[in-house]
Amino acid sequence: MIEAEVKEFIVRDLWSITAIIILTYVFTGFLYIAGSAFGGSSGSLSTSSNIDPFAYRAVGSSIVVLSMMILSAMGQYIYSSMLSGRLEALLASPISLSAVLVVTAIPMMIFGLSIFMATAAPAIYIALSKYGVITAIESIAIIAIGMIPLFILGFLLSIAIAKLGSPVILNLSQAFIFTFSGALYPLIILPELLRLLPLSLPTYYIAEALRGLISSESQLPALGGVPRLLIVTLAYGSIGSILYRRFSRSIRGGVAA
Amino acid sequence: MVLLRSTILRSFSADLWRGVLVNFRGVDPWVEMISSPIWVLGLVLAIASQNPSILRDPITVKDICWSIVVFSMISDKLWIVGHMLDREKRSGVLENILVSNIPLSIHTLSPIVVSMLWSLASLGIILITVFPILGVNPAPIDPVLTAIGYILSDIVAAGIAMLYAPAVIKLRRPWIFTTFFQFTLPLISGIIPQSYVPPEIRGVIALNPLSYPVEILRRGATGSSYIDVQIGEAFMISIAGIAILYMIGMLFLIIARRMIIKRGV
Amino acid sequence: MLAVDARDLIKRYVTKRRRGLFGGEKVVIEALKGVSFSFEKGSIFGLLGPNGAGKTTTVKILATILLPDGGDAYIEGFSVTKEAHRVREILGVVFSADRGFYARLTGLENLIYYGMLYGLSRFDARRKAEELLDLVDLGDSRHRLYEEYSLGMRARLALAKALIHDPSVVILDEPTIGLDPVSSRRIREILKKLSREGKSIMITTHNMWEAEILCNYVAVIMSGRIVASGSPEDLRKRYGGQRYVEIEVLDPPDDLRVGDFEVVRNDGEIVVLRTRSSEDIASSIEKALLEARSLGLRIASIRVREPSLEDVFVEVVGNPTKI
Repeated sequence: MIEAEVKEFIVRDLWSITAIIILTYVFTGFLYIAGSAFGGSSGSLSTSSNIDPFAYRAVGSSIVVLSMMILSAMGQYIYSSMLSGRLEALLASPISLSAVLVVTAIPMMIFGLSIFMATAAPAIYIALSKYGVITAIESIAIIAIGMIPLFILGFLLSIAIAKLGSPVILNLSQAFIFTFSGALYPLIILPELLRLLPLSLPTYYIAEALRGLISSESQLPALGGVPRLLIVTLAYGSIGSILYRRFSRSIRGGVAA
Repeated sequence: MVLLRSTILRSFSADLWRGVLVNFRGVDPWVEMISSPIWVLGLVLAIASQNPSILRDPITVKDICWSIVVFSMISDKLWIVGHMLDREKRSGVLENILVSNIPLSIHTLSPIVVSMLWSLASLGIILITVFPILGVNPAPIDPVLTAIGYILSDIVAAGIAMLYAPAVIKLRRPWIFTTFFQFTLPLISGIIPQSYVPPEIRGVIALNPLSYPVEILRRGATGSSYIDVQIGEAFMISIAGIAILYMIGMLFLIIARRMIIKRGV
Repeated sequence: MLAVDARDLIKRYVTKRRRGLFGGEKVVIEALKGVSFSFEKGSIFGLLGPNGAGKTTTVKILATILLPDGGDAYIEGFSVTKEAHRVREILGVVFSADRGFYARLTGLENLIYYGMLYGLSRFDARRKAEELLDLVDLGDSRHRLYEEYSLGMRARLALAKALIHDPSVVILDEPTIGLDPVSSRRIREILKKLSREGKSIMITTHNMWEAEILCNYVAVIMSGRIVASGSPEDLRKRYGGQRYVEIEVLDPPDDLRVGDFEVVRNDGEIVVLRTRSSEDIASSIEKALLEARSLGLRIASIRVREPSLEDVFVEVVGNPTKI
């Protein structure tokens, strides 16, 4: 089943994936050019560490694009399954819905990782040149762990869309993730009242863990962000599991049909 | 001629009425509109983060805000106007439009007006949310000049989207190109200070008809000047740009209709 | 006067046969290879054919939204290639039963919109839309959004839209496909009513029974060519094969044999037998009854089964060399 999903992904979406990679660079370039034009290219992005502005942006853009992709794909999954009649077929099949969700998520995770590797190449290069392959592997592991709460977030969004009967909140949630991801800019430039918002999103912890890795001044790669990311993943996992059980019961009761 | 004019007017008003209902009815469009200021805030902060100290300079922040307003306006036009025919093709409406006698060029005019209303509504929300959050006074320095610049920019952006619309029907994955233009077109439309821009790109910006109304808008809103041009000259170039864009756009749509009829919807 | 006169219509599509991720070769598909047919004003014409035969391509050419590569067609004397704008004024079209409207507009609003596109004033468009919605039994649902309409409702709305500008010719592409029997019957009733009022109707379908009960004149299209045309009766005589007498027998004995009869259906309690009928139907029936009675069979019913348009279709489409 996983093989079939992966093959379908490759055949159907290879051009789209290539385009996403290129467009992420276009987006990164836009931010870099506009940022340099207004702020000067000598400006420092982070108040607490020295990091190449383009690498900083590459990591941030990649995380944001990846998040929005996952949110969009997972967010519409249940609603589009309802509309197409696929959900009834899934519920009637011997395979559990959770297994289907996991299987659907796996090829997306593989490609999400590939897209991230391609779009955050400058940052990966810095990691490789500074600390070697182990750090590069560590950064991939961070992204892989970080994608789990993103998928759960996407699934929660999917439940909300199914309940509302309209995908309208998808755009709103993507706008929210984009602006409050904590990946595109340091938290300190947000007005104080709004700083709590990024702290509730997994994207902030993914970005912090990765940037900590590539900007560490010490001889050894930093691990500071990783434990927090694991805690966030566990928290999202718990919330997701509780809500999934409730949703699963209600959907079999015909509420979402 | 009178009959033709009245038919065109009637068709235009029908399309306008239909466009307003489709795009503003119910809760969904307003929820979508709420997302505009959130996107704008995110982009402004992401740009400003290159040198966070500029956030303490309200004039620069106001410049960036208005630049992103233009970005948002261009984006609205590309997605609403640019993709209109493609959306109608996918829903089967385009066949019904073609089988009536309404020219595609007239049919495309009303989404232009609707998208301008949409951008205006978004602007209103942005002015009362994003600007105060960033500590910037939303009031323009010269409201009349700002209004003129805004309206002209909107019309020119819509004209560019009108040129793009026929191409969208033929593309398999038009969202790729629209996203690409969404980020590149604003950069060559004078939304960033020229001092940073290489001379070749400055040439492109000078040739872009959108750069001039954007310049008028910025001077009215913030007093900043990015392009070395007199206001009167910018105004004349904007009007000429509108005339040329819309003539070419109408021609493209006439050609597009012929090609659709030749090859099928 | 002819309502529709199609002459030697030719249409080719160029497409790409894809190989792998990047490769592909150009393929030319001949959708129509010289299609000609015509029908009189005020009649109902059916264009029958299997999927991919060229029905929809023909409809699109007649509707002036597709240019033929050869030939021409005339709608009440106006050329679809040279006088398309005149054709559109007198032609109403249903392309698809379940598409073609704005989801966020109500049924009434959609019709008013299309009415105004056809040059009606807002007031006239509204009045006409209300009338048509009552005609197609959508009066109670006029203020519901199109996205809430069922398939049957959408099909009826599509028919109403085709009539909004009071055209004299109406073309419908598979108007009852996917509809329940009640909705299908309603559509057929409306089409018959329109025909009685003098409108010329053309439908495409592969529902032979529907064509049989609706159409005065039919043509069968296959692989881009007209392979048979005429009234349903003409076609039955030419291609339909034999007329049969059928007897339904209750509680049949095992190993039932009745003269020249063959068993058509046997579910244990009822057997249907049939034999070819001669030209003299009465004697064929008498002969069948006598044979059955002589064997002591319990007869539930007896009927003469005429060759149907479906028989014609199967014969013509299945054996193209017979034409």
